[in-house]
Amino acid sequence: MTADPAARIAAPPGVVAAEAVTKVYPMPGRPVEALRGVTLAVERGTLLSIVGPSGCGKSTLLHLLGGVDRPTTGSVTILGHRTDGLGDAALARIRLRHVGFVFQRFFLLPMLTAEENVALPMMEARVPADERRRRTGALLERVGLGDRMRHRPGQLSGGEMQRVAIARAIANHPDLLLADEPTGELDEATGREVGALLRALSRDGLAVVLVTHNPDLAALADRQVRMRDGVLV
Amino acid sequence: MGPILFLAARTLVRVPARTALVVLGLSVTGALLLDMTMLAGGLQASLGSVLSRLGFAVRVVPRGTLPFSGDAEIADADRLAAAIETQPGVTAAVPVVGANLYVRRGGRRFPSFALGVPSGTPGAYTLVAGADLPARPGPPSGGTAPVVPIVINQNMARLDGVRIGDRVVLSAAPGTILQTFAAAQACRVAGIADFYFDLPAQRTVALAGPVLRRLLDRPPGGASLILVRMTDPSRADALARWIAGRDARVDAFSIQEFLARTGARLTYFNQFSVILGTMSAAVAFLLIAAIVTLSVGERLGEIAMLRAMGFPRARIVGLVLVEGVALAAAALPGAFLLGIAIARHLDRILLSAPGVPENLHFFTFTAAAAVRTVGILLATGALGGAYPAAVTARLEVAPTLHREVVS
Repeated sequence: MTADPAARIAAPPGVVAAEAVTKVYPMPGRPVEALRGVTLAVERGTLLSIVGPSGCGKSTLLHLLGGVDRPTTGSVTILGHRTDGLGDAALARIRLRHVGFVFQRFFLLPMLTAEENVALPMMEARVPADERRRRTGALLERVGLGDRMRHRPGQLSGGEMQRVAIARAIANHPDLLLADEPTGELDEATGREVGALLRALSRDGLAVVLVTHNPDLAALADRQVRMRDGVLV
Repeated sequence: MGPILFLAARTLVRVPARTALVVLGLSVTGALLLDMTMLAGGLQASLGSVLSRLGFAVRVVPRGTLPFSGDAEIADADRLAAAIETQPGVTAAVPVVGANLYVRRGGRRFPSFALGVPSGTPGAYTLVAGADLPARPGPPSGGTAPVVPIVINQNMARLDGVRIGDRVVLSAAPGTILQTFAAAQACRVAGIADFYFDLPAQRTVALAGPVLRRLLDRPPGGASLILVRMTDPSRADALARWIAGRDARVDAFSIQEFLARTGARLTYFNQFSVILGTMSAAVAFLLIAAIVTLSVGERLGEIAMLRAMGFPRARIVGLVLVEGVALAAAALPGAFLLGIAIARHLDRILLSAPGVPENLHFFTFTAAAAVRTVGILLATGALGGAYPAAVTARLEVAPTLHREVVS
């Protein structure tokens, strides 16, 4: 952990914890309260799903848990580091080493091959080239794409792209994996494969938080929480 | 290779046709920029090169006649030259007489520029064929003047068919009638030489200084300029100051000072090149800024993802700046090839103008011009990347990711 030790507090149990978190977006006219006092903790080896209607604040909560945004009030603690006490660079280091993201739209870089996309976070983390190559191969084998390493995203199916995105998200051995509608653009069968993969990763000790509309996917979780109008219900 | 250089390189080839067109456009503007930097100091650099080749560290001219006037004279140049030769580090001080006269060969007569030098003075010209002026000619002092040797320039050999061994007559008078009132001198062509500052069709002859003075009916001891050769050219400025302090009727210039004074008279070239160079840099800036801004706009989701992945804000800003610089760098080979080709063509056009010496060039490729062009173009690339870099610096990760998914 390279973040500022001064920002570290007595770590609550779990990889990530939200404590009475609110998030207000200042809008012309009246501010929008996206989150209203959410408290949540996620342990290692747990798959937690967050379900709820569109606009209830699921993605906002996910972004706060991953440290890409800061709460208006309350606190989010990732591995003992309060995100509101960290600067941009320190928060980026925490994300690089400890948090992985998977999104509905994959966000793979189209000019890179599958193995280059997976290697990218390792390059930023200065993983030596030999180790990078070894780990990239192993990750793509694990997600079932050992024979597609040199394919670009445009040459892969939606399910394959999402599996590459998952391999990229866990490339630096994170403690926390956050997935926002990871099956949103996939057919049912492929969605099930991706769900199984996330389930397996949580079994390996990763804390996985899954935001989804898909009840079958949500049902794979160890814990399921429901949101409505910015609060857990 | 770090991730930033790796990503920048891959981003450049992401849309190859678009990148190729931008690089082509930047090559054209870069070529114009190179031409303008070559023009800015080209004439001075070319003049400096010729002057350095001649090997004279200091030039002494009648006050206010820079760079050269055949009409003005240093009255007692021989005595001043002798005094200069006593100074430390001076190996020779050569009085040179310059004047216009006429060369008659058979029935033809043509105007020519004459250079009167002490015999056997190396450096005023470069012999390309035949023999040089003898070291000790028999000085004509009354009575029938002997046939004296001369060296002619290549124009006279080529355009008038004058050959080594031919006999010609030099005279200060343009016609046969007037010639009866003016001195004439029978001469034999000993050699053909390259005179460095000849105009394209100018005829030039070199002969012994005393002979030329007698032809011009000028008193002995005078000269149009004095050329000084030194063992240590770094002392040229000090010598020039000593000469100017000793004799108020002359100006003395080291090569550097000579070039600086000449440069001051060529400021319009600098102004011209600064204006056009700035315009081409501005076009390059706009081209880079437009294309990188467009590219960043297309990649906001990916950039937000990189941030979410753990790339710090500064790295992403660096990535966008590097993309701008990389575009400019990719244009450099084309800019240099095209720029040099255009410069040669423009140089030929300008050199065909009347009154321009053949050995001078307006566009001179120098290390300084190359470094300046590379520096300006790369800086323009960084500046062009600055606006899109600022856009990425302000990018909020969570709302951008949300927008990209919703859209």
